[in-house]
Formats: sequence, structure tokens, C-alpha cells
Amino acid sequence: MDLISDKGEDCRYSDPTYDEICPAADWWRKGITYAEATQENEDSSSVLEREFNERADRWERETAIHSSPSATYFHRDYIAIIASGMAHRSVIVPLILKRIPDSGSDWFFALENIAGQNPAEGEEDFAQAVEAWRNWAAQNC
Amino acid sequence: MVCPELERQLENLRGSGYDRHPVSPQTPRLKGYNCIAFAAGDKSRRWWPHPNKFAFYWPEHLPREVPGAETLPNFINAFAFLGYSCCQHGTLEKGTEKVVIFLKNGHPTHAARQLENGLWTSKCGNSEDIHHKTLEAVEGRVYGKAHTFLHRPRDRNQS
Repeated sequence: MDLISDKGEDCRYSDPTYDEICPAADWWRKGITYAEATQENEDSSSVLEREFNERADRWERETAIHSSPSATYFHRDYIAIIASGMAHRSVIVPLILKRIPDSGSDWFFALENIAGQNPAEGEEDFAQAVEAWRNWAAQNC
Repeated sequence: MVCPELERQLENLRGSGYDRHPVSPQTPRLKGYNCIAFAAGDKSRRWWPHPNKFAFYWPEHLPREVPGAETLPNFINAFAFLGYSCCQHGTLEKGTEKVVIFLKNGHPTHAARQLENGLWTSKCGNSEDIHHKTLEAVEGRVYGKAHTFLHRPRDRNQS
């Protein structure tokens, strides 16, 4: 995909569309409530997992050039993953924790924003930080 | 050897005369190193003043900074910790090792180190180590511009 627009703008940092963040946004067409729709999506964990992996792979690949962590946070796939994690915490948080050990990218910022807290705050050891998040996930996901 | 992915992101790299040294994909990247660490001669960890100490090393006596609000003096002080001091330019000088800090929108984004032969070497994020003839080759929309040069006597044992 060409990430540079005709105007020479870097499209990676353009705002995601509503459909990108909420691909199942047509729930109202089905004559069901939003709660039923989100429950339906929660059950479709394999769909969420596939979408997560696609976005995570692309985000890691396209932001690998940056040393600055903050330069990676504003990528549309990362924002979409955080949004998805807020709606489907029990699916997305374990997927992030599974990916962290082999990833060079900063997934902790996403976890903090999904959880609204940082159970690894003050940790100085990477393995202990991951363990703190696993303990948090065991109680909250 | 060229790298199309790097050339796509670093718009001035193509045709500039560079050589790539791919990082082993077997290395868990969070346990790898980044450009600041590479410029500092440390391939064992990632250097950045990020608040998460478990993920990023930064000299203990220097402040951690909010992501996106990193400051140039903090990065200068990190290299000063290694014996570097500010200098005027990146021209090759015998017996002197130089590094340069890149700025974009006033914030540090990247660092490169000068080799004894005058080439510059950069670690581009988590991906590639490259040798490049000019600093302009890696300047642009990703890293901004080469801004602050620092130097120290070259250690003969270092590459």
C-alpha cells in the first residue's frame, strides 16, 4: 500500500475512519441492540484476533524505523487496537501479552490506555513488568 | 545491499550510497538496541528517557520524560555522560569520534555515529543498521534534520 498521498502527505498518521475502528458498525441494520451487537462481537474472538494480528503486524513493520516510542503511538493501527481493546478487553489484552515477549515495539502504552491504569508502574525488570500485567489480566479480563 | 523498505520511509536515502547490515530476526527486539544506544556504542539495550524503566535504559542521574516531550539537553547530557561534548560540525577529524542528534519539531528522534573512515552509521529504529555517506541521506520526514554534533577522543579499541 502506498502510504504517501498525491499531495505528498504521510497517510500513516491520518485519522482512522469510523469503519476502521468499528468494522461491525452496521449492527443497527440487524434490528438488535448495541449491547447484543457487542456481545455478538465478543463471541467472535477469532475475528477480533485475526484483525488484531493484521493490525499489530502492520504497526510493528511500519513503525520499526522509529526509536522514539511516541512516534509509534499515533499510527492508525495502534489507535484502532487500543479502541478495540477498550471494547473487548478480555480478547485483546491476552493477545497483546502473548505478543510482547517477541516484540520490539512498545505495547505497554496500549495496555495502560486499555486498562486505565499501570500495574507495572515502578518495575525496573522487563519480565517482572510482563508478570505484573499478566496478574492484572488474570483478575480483570 | 539496498533496503526498499528503508528507502520508502527515508526519502533521501535512495542513491545516496549506503550499505545495510540487517539485524538478526531471532533477536527479541525489546532486548535489542535502538539508534541512541547504537550511537552510544551499546548494543545490549534500548536507550530512551521513557518513564518505563523496564523497557528503556537511561543514565540514572538524568530525568525521564513524557513521551513526545523529550528534550535536546537531556540527550546531550546522556552523551556527555559518555565523555562527549558539543562541537560545531560533523567534519571528520583524526582521533575524534563524533555523534549527531537529529531533531524533528524540536524533539530528538535519532542519532548517528561517525566511523573512522568518515562514513556515518545509524540504527534505524528496530530494523536496520546502515552506513551512510552523508547525514542528509537519513534526514527528512521521519527523523527531521541533523542538529547537534558532539565529539570525544576516539578510543582505538572501538570500531
